[in-house]
Amino acid sequence: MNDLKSQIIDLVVDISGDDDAAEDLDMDLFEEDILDSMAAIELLVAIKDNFGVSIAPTELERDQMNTVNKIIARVSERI
Amino acid sequence: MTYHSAFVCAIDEQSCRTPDTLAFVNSDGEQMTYGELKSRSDALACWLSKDKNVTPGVPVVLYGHKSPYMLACMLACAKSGHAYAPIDTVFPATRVAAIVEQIQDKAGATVLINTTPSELEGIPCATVSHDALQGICAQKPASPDVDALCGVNKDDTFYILFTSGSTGEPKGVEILTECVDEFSKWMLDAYTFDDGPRVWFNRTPYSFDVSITDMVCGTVRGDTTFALEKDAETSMSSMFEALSASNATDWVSTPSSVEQCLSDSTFDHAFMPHLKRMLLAGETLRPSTVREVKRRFPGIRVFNGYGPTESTNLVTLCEIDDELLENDLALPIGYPKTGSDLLVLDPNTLEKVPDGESGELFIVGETVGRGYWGKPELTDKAFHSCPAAYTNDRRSYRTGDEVNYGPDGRIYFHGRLDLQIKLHGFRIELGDIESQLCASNLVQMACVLPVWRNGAIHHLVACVVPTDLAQERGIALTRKLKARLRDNIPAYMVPRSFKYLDDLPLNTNGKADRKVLAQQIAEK
Repeated sequence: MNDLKSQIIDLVVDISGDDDAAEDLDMDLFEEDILDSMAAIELLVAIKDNFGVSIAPTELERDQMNTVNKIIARVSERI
Repeated sequence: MTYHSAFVCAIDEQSCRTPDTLAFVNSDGEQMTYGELKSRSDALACWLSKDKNVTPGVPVVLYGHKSPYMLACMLACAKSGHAYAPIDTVFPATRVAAIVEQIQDKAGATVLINTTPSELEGIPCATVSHDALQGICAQKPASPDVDALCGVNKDDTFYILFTSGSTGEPKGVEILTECVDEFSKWMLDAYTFDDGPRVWFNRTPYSFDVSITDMVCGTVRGDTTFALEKDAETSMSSMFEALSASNATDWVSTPSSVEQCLSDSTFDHAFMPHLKRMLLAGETLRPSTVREVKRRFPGIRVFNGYGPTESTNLVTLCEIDDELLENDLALPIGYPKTGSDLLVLDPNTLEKVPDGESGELFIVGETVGRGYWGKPELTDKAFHSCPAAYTNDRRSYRTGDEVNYGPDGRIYFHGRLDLQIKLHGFRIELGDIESQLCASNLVQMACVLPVWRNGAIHHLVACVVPTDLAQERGIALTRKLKARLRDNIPAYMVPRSFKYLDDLPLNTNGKADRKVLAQQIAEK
């Protein structure tokens, strides 16, 4: 689990280009301009490539994956 | 009913021919027929000609997103002899106010019309609320009043589009009636196919030049324009729901927008069965994107186009056929538009480069605008620097884009010669963001760099030297600076990442050395 957590944090930092993403896992990534809609899609593609978990961009509303913790929860419930 | 503009006449004639056909629909189910487009634009044009708050000839500001009323207002301005400046809701209030002030400084009191309901406050001019606009448009003007309208002249400004300016102030590109008429004439001819009425889906807001495509190419033909309302813009699921119900036949957007849709496996022919063509412009188009579009939509025709706001819209266009995709090489931006000269000059000597070699693109012809609103120096540099030997007394524009002609006559794009960039199709001057950052008392120096991945700009990084007033350098400072930027520039211009440095590396001219800085950032 910890491994999954750190891998997802790394993905978010890598895709956003913003180290701050790792600072607070409950921070709203969209409100803080760390992710935008293009980056969110990139993240879903990376999640599929890395964990084999397929989440369609149309399946989720923004408030269901707007923090690192929520993303971790989504992925771990499907892995 | 005779207008000086051929384009305005054509739309009016179309409206009389097919009054019951839908001119505009959006994802909220709002609709406008050609009959309504005519009656609304006639009523508003008469009001603009008579109301005492509206000074004749002063550009009118149209604020809102892509909506039926925005289209009616644009046409009304042209019919009443006013230029219009369309401003999308992505612009924060301070940016809107700065644009209004620029217009008023040069031309006198203007009026802002809310083409969609809005809560915009603090704008220093008379405003027409959306409710009031609906009231005006519902009036039945007297026939002699409508007959008296003759609209903008051939050499009048038709519209002003405000883009990012390198000094932190938006700059307005003035496009003339003649430009729109000439562009319309070419595009209608170049984008002709053996088909019936079309439904255009164009993702670009009316404040960007690419949106002119469906106006001049679609509305003139009596086609329907389909647009996304705000909710559908921010949620992929509502966007997809709206798109599948749209019956769109023609798609116009940046490559980024299509790539976003392609990330969902349901985006295919079964999802949009009527889609026949895709016209992509505004940034580099990758072969992999076109291949995937063709795989998902068998039989679809894909076109690539290019053109700066300063020359109305597209000045190059070509179909991306299978032959071009064979070798995975860079795709051409197209053949030059007929009626314009697209010259490749050495940026230093301003002499023509040998055939096939790359240089700076200069555009000469009727689609080139008059210049930048109220900015004679900038206008001189960009619009008056092409040697007279090449212009034949026609207007010209120096693009700052590096291109070359391929052996087949198609043009290839190689990037910018200055600090302007395209991020997901949005045109951004890095200096604009830097000026906004440096205006904060927390920032001593700032340099904004694009970060490239897979051959495209992925995001922006701001390298900031804070002042002593900045207590800390981490996320708290980033939050403050991002909030400041969001209040002053559109969200797409806010850098995603912030790095704090003690100093910026300087080059021999004493300016920030962007190459060294980019290396430093990459190594961190």
